[in-house]
Amino acid sequence: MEEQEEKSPILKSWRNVYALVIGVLVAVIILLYFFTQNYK
Amino acid sequence: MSLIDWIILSITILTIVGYGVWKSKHTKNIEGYLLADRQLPWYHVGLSVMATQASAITFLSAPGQGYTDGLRFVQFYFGLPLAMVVLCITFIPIFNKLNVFTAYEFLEKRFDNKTRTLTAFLFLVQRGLSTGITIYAPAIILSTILNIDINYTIVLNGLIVIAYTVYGGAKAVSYTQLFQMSVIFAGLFLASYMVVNLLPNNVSFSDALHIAGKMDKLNAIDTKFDINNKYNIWSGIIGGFFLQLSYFGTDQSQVGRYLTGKSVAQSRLGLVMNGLIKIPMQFFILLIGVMVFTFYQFHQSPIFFNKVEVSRIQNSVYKEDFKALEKAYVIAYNKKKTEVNVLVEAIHSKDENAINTARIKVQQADKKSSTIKKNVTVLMQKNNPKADVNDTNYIFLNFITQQLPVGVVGLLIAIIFLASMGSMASGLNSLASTTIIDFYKRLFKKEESDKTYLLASRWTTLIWGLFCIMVAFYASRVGNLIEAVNILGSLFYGTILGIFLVAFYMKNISGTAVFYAALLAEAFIVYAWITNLTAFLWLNVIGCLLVMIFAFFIQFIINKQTISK
Repeated sequence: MEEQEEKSPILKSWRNVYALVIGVLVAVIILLYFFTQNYK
Repeated sequence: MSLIDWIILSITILTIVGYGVWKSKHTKNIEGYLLADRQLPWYHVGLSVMATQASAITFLSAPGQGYTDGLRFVQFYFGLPLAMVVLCITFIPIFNKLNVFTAYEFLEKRFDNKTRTLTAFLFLVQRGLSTGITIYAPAIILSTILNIDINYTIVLNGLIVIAYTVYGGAKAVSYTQLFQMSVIFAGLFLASYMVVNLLPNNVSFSDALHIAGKMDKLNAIDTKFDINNKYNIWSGIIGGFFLQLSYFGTDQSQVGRYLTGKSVAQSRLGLVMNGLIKIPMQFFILLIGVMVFTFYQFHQSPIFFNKVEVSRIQNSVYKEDFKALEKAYVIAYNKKKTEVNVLVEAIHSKDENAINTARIKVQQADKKSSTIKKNVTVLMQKNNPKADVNDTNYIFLNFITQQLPVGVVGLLIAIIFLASMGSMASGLNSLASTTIIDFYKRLFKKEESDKTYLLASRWTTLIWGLFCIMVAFYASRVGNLIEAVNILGSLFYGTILGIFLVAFYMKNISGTAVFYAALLAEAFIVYAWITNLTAFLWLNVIGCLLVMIFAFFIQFIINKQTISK
């Protein structure tokens, strides 16, 4: 492995990449909550 | 299975395995064999990580779980994306900087040899048993299709995977997993299309969801906190986070996958990919199980999905009792079908009162069918106390072979095989890595040639493979397989994660303190499991926290004794 490839190739920084992962998780949980309520 | 299905099954498996073996033919050193020369791109890493976790159990047991228990199992994966972020920030850079082969090498650099050896030992026990269970899962398929004793199919399956893993090492594992996941995704979409397509003409996908919802199968989110409830949002996020962090951060079968990345960025992107895709994928697989459940509201399901056990009871002294139960089951099904059709009409009319009345009647009819099924299992146990009365793992398999058209059956069976091969191969590869790097090379043969270690790795893979086959013989006694693997992981992962978190975040703790803390914590976890103290996901949290707390106090005592001396 090479240290120089540390910079994120997408979304400018790793911080943004991690924010995307957490944002998608929150969105999925909210969607599943409404999905559960809708068909209850 | 038809001849066309056998041809599709054989071609799919041989092509993918052949490709993996061909790509790994130049493997000549230990780094190539155990870590694919650390040269793989992010999508290889991501798919390999996913394929390692998604064993045959995922495709056999998870739809069965969707069928019997609904969608609530999806909450188990809520901690996974968070764990991926922590791994990217902490674990990957450290493992990369130290240029390790296994996660446990890091522990000797941070603590001492005894802590490294203890952790590697806990991993070997856990992974050896888990891989054995994953060999058992696809053996069910052959046993059902060929109608032969499952022990023969376990040996056949196990030997095929051993041969392929012994030869190819990590490169073969990764290259086959790339194609395995592609075929798996395609097959899953096909299966979901087929199951919806098989519903009656007057029942749309939306109607099917409403029916499943009214029968409590679309319970994806449970917000009520209950420490004894296996799957709710809190156990999923908190307990799941600790379990996934431990699995991906300290289990060599996963660490070995992202150590194959050609840079820190490529390894990180692979894990990010897993964090984004895993929950939707698992939801989708469970939903297929729910749709199979809805399908069987309009078509009579088998009274028991495991044909082998049905055949046994049909040829026993209880055959007349079984026949009587079958008759009662048909009557109960016809009654339920009538009520389900009333429910469909009510859903179409959008009359809430009518829907509610119909829902109660369907649930009552379903309860009657369930009671008859329960009586069948009682009869089976009466006939044979060792009978396998949990048919969850057979539900999806039975549906595939009985309801889907020629060609699709072969492809879906191939998927289950491929998934199994991917995770078994990773398991065997990681068991070999840990045995060679953390025991053989560290304790017995420190300065040998690369060729010696490569040969030893191949022999170790073979020996572990045979051990896993032995474990698989006993796997039929453990009930739901996916749950069994996760419970087994939860017994060890918390302690192992605790050791790693102390290493990363508690800089003043010594090897001796963490070593005894880990022993004490593991003893408590085993006690908690035996006495059924809490739902299994919480064992990960408790084990991890106990290691950290015990290590802190033991270090405090050590420091005090040192000062007084």
